Amino acid sequence: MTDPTREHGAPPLDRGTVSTEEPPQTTQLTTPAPGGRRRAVAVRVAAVVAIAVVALGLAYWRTGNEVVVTQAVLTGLMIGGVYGLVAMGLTLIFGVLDIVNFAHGAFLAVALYITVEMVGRFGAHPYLALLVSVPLMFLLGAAVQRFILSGAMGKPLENQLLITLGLALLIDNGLLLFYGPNPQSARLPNDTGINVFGAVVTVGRLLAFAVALVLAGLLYLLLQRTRLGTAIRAVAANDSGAQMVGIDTRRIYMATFAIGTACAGAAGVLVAPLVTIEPTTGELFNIVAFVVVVLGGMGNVVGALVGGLLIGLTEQLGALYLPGQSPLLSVFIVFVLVLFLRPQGLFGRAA
Amino acid sequence: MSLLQVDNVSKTFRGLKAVDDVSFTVEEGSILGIIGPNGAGKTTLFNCIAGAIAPDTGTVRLSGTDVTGAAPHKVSKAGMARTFQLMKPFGSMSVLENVAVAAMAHGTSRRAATDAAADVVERVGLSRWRDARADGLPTAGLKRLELARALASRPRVLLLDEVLAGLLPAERLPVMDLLETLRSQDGVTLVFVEHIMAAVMRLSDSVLVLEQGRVLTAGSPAEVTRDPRVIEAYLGEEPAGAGS
Amino acid sequence: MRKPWIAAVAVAMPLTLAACGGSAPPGTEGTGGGEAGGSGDTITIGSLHPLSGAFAADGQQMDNGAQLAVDAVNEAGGIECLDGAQLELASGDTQGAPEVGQSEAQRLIQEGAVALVGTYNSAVSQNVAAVAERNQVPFVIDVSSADEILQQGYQYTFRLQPSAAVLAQRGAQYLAEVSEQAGDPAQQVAILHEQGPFGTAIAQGFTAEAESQGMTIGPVISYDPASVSDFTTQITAVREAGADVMMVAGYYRDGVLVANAVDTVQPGLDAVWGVANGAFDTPQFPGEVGDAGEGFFDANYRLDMTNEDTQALAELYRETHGDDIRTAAVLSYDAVQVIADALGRACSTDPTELRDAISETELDSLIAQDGPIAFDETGENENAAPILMQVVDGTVQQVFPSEYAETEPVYPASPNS
Repeated sequence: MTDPTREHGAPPLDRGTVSTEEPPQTTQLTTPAPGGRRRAVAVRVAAVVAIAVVALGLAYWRTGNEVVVTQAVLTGLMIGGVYGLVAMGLTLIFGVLDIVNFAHGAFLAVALYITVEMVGRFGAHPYLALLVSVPLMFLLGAAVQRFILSGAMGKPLENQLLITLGLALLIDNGLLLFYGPNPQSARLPNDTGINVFGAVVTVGRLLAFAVALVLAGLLYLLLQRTRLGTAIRAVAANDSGAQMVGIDTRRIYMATFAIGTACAGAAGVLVAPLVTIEPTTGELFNIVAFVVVVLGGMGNVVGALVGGLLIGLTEQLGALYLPGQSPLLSVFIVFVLVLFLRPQGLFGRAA
Repeated sequence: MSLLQVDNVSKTFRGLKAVDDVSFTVEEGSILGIIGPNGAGKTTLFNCIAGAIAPDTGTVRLSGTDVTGAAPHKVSKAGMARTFQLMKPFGSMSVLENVAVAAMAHGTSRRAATDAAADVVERVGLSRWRDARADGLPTAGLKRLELARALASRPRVLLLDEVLAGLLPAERLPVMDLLETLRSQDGVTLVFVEHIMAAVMRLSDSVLVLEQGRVLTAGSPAEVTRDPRVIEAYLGEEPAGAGS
Repeated sequence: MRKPWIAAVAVAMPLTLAACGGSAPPGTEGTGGGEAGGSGDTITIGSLHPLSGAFAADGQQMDNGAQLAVDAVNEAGGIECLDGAQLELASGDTQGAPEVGQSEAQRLIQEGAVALVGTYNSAVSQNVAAVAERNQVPFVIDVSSADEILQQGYQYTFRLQPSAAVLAQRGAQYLAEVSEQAGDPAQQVAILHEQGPFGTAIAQGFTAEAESQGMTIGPVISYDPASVSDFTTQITAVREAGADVMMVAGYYRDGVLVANAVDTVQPGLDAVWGVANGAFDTPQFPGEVGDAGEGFFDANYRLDMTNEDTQALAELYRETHGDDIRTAAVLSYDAVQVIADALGRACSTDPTELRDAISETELDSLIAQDGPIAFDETGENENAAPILMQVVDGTVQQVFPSEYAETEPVYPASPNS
């Protein structure tokens, strides 16, 4: 890469600025400290462990009973895992499409009723509904994005909010019209309690947690290791940059919304045996999902899972710290605290 | 048939003709520099060629294929890559991954794309920052990243929009060296818009001069800089790179 | 916006739904069975309930109950002293929201309702009571527990169900009586209540009476019914505290979750004791939770299944709507009967005369209570009282006091809980 003229310091026909410069340095870029990134992660992990120890100690001090504390931690993790799965779909949609999807809970409700149908009509095991719900919701999500939402991309935010809100109302009332308001159920056969360190958890809840983690892991692998996933992350990072390197962003929007909705579809099946199924049940998860998404960092899938676990634990432990108060108060406190210290959320990108 | 053929492209903004009936061709393997005083319409023309703006009239053909006003990803797939003045890195991804995305978008598997990306990263001199987050790079690095991403898509034509802007003089030379090797080693055709006359003179096979949206003249660098009309167009305006 | 049709359809849906449920668009007549012959005019009664949203299951039942009462009155010839004037029900969907309930009440009054019944949600009833008072239109509350509604000196609002204070006091009293009768008096009672005004009022009233009966109360755990999804931690805490009875005051969804958690944790309680619990005495509850709900008690207002007329109504509801009638719907039925009865005594649709007639009501009820429906000066039904139900062999049965009992209470409830 050398040019003979370089040594004389005078490129041809130049009026003279470059020639007065010193010989070019080989690099103007500073190398990032190699251990720096690892250190930052280690600090964060240490902080989390410290907080966990303090939290558990506090709970024990408040209740004087390690069985209750263990139970709270166990239940919190189980519930939190499912919150995480619901939130992952939502945060993915936000990260890529910049859409706050108010219909996410309604999609989850559709999955609940798919499970009801599978159990009621075909006598199938509730989890078999995953085979129906996930592909069906994937297609539904793709169709919704392609035909309903794509027109609103790039338009003012209110349009998108209005559309997803309208969609949520449509689905909720459609379910009400079709199924009526009476509660339905889709129970697991033989849902016994399992003993874990003196605390108890039902098989149903344990399975929901395990499957949620597996699905979360699959989603993570999809995003990190596949071409589609990498393209999705690129679009989330810089939409126009992605277009310029040849990514068809419209297809990515459709795929992302479909995946996010499929997550809601999976979560709905996992949760169906654990709740009373009514048309409005989905809305409960909607609210928690939004809190988790903001807490974990909008657009960050790992953050959604961690945030979900955190909220699950906070709800349960919070009930121990402040027994007379609503556990929501603890969630609120944690929420405000985290955002105060890190406004972009636990894993979010700094503004 | 020329690789890039621009015919009668015009674009009007709010009653003002930003680009007025511009035509030119670029042969494969050559380097064309587009210059002109401020407001001459260089950026608008550039955007028309790259597909970012659809011209009011005229066509842009790449190897005979009409790409006038095509969507960015289609333009990229057709074999025309561009860099952006306002850089658009995938901030949270590493430098290597940034480049790999571009390679992947053109059909290669993830593994092959990553290997190809590593090569490109090496060539633009970013090896040391391979695994660093893109949003940690300073301007000079981001410029090279832009270039790397454009290269990774193995384009036939590379459009460069003031690629040397914002770089210190010492930072410019490696980039110019790189651009030359792109043509000599990879056979990439370059079209670049530039203010820095030194670069234009050094790199271009031919130069297109715009003034008020119209082609003032075209020719070799030596011819163009001697043309009195060109000198007059720049009169009263200090071309970048001029000394006292 | 390029796709306004989506939002338009979404908004049209609940309107259509409400119309099917009975809330007519403004300017048209209310739906209802008032078409039967009769030479007199039609008299409109407004029915305000949550026909959509989270409480739709109860709301729709209550609206149906009110309609059945209107039909019954009309079939019997309408209001005799008003030339056989027929009744007509105008339904409004409160959606469980106070502002919506308020505007619906306003609308129904403007369209000529001579009286209102409703609303199920205390917050909504609070607003409707204010509207009724302002417009001087009688309002008969079928279901709403908040004590405050009738502590503001309103003249035009009456309530059929026992207030929260009465429910809580009787609930604790029955616990003392039943457990002593069984030779196993309750000693430490844990309280698990929804954190809103309803659950809190029940918890407070229960605590006062229980302590005066010599029981100790603790632990007291509250929760948010809207967001709770699991009770294993709370039930574990109750078990670890050594309580022998757990009182639960909440709604349907959380009641089901409590049953599941009790089944999982097995806290070794003598009884799970609901007070005005939204789940434990509903016909759907045993079906949804199976064995987990066996033995659960609930002290609540209740349709009196030992009463033949009540049985007939339950059968009629099953024929007409294909579902088991809930007590709330029977209260709505009673509420319309109260108004019809008052119209028959006032012989006028003048709202003030009607209100006076209502205040002098003495009418037999289809609800199990201490006597006929009769209102005190504040508008409370002075004979309203809860009775005790228990899930026995998979069905909800009345067990206490003995004059209403269908079967004996089982105390301690079962080896499982």
